[in-house]
Amino acid sequence: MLPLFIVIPIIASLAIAATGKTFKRLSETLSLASALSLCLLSLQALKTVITRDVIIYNVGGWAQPLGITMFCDGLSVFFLVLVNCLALLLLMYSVSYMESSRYKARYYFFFLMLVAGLNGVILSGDLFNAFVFMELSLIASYVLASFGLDSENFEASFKYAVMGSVSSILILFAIALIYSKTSSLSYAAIAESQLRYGAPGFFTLLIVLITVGFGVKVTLVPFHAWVPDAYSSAPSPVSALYSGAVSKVLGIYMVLRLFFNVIGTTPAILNLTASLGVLSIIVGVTLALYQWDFKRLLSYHSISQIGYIMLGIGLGTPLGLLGALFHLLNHTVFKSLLFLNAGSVERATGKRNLHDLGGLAKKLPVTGSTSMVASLSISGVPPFNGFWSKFLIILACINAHSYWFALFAALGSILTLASFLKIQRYVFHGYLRDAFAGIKESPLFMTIPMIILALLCIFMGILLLPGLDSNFLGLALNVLQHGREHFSLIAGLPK
Amino acid sequence: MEYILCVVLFCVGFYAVMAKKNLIKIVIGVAVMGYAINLFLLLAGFRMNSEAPIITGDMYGFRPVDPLAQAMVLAAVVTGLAVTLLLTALSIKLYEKYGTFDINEIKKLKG
Amino acid sequence: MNSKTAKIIARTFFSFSLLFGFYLMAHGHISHGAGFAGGVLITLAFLQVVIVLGKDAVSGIINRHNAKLVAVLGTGALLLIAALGYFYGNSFLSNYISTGTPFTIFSGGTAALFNIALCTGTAGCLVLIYLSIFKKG
Repeated sequence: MLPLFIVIPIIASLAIAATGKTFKRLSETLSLASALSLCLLSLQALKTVITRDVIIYNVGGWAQPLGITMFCDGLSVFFLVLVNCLALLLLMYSVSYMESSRYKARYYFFFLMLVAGLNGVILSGDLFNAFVFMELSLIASYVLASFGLDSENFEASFKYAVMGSVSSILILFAIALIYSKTSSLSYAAIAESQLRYGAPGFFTLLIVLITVGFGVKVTLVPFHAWVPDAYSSAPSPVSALYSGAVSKVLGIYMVLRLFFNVIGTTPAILNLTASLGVLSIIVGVTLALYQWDFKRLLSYHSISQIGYIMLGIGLGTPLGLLGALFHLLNHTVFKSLLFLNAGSVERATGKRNLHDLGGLAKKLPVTGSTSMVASLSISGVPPFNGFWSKFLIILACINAHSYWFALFAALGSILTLASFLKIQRYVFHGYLRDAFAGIKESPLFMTIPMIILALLCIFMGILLLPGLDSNFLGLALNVLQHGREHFSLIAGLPK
Repeated sequence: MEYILCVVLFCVGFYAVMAKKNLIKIVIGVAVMGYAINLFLLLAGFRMNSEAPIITGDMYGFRPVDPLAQAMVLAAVVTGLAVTLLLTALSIKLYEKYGTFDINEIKKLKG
Repeated sequence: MNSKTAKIIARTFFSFSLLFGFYLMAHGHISHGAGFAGGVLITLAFLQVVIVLGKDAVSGIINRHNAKLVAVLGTGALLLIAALGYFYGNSFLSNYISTGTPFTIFSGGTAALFNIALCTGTAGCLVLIYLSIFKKG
């Protein structure tokens, strides 16, 4: 079943590339059909992992250590469900959003290739396979950032491409170092090897390369220069995919897998990660206060929220990891909803600057109300989902005696609330301009994903209840807590 | 001893990415950095007193250099080629829009 | 290009480089490198004709539509061979043709066919990229 996650989007995208220009509605139907099947398959995989703990698939029939394996355990299925369900909602939104564009076939081709690459990174069982799929999804995302054909889009895409490829080269350097030390590439073999015990400078170099290389992908603060341009120049569903899936899977999933299951870290590196996270929180929120462009402001807040996740990871305690994983899920939901709202506003009015907008709450009721829900979620107001995850992270900081981190996290939350009150006041309340008198609400395909995401924002707090917790978040947490013995634990299980 | 060549290539590529103002020179810098890391991968697979890993007929006492490193380098070369192609296409589009290759002029997005 | 020497050489060496590219591609499963150099050589064989003789002179055969056709056919054949492995063998990408005597051409099983599909797909894609970027020749 596991290769289907990669094969279905690739076949659909090839079919769209071949025939997308000749038939009228073929590209939308094909992409929606493949996204729906991917979403159902990921839920089926979740059910299988709950009962059987892991799914292992040897490509080509060659068993370990000769061949490439794909495996799906608790952490992988968490990200798999996240990416595929998000892709379904965003493709539904794109059907109406890209209606007036001339390049529909290419858009759906690259979107599906991006989804295929992300699935490949999640499911791969060895390092170099993950690297190749990571490059596939990155090339697709470099192209998607330049859709729209204004001059600014190409500049943003160029900056993103150069920084992304430099970081990929650093990651390849880290893979070369791991290979030269252990002469093996699969996660299971590296986890059992003696990588940590050798020259101490070697291990430090490896960890620093991984932090810098994946830090560009995770959008941590010293490496965030490409983010505002790329996120604001891409079309809105693509921005939602960037902040909701690409930075999570390529960055955070690989960091979690490498730091906890494959290589292992030292407390100093975890402390560094937490410090970079706190720096991201403060810098992201402070720079967002100056912005008057809607999507640029949202991208700075994306940097800030990823800082919360890295803070939770950097603490290393189980409560911190649970808070980080839950905040990852919540951030995908409310940040995607915010980007979809921005896209809806831009499609209706044609403007993105906050000074030019005003009084849209009466004209765009669904957009206005879902935007209010998402703004309250991201600021951490109870009982929306953002509150529970931020509360868990701050509680974990206090339990780990890092009181300054907790203070900065709370401060970031307050400044986030200030920023989103600014958005609400300037975009949705205030007086309506005369030029906007004739605008209408967005069509059905765009409002349904927004309503679904808003309902998820309101009700996702129930994932922390004991019955549901062990089935979804608890699976991922167990995998991370096993540490480096995880692969020897799952090696004995039958397929 | 040969690892010094990797370091030199990497530094040359890095300098080109950081300090040059022409778009094409930045693209060349990225490509040269990729070549440096590919060379490092190849050198990591070297064995003493060995020969090329090609089997032709039955061989007695055959000790090859590590072939897995060479397979990895092939995949990395293909990937680097795709990224270089994309960057070149973007540079051409930028030249059509702005009329110049200088990155000091291409600065519409600020803040 | 305006020089007669370049045009004569391009016309003569088109068939030679194409033949050499096919040779590298067919022996991909024996040499290391999986014949990727063969695919690139086929691309360059077509591209040298396009560059030297001008885009309009050869646009009857080497145009974007044909390049897209070759690219999609190559990649589609790749997926088809891999998917057939799922039905006839035990899992995805497994082997289901008999491997003959080692070190000859007909010895790789599905790896040889895979190789050919991969390299034609690559050649088609690279020619398509060149023709799409440079519109003015």
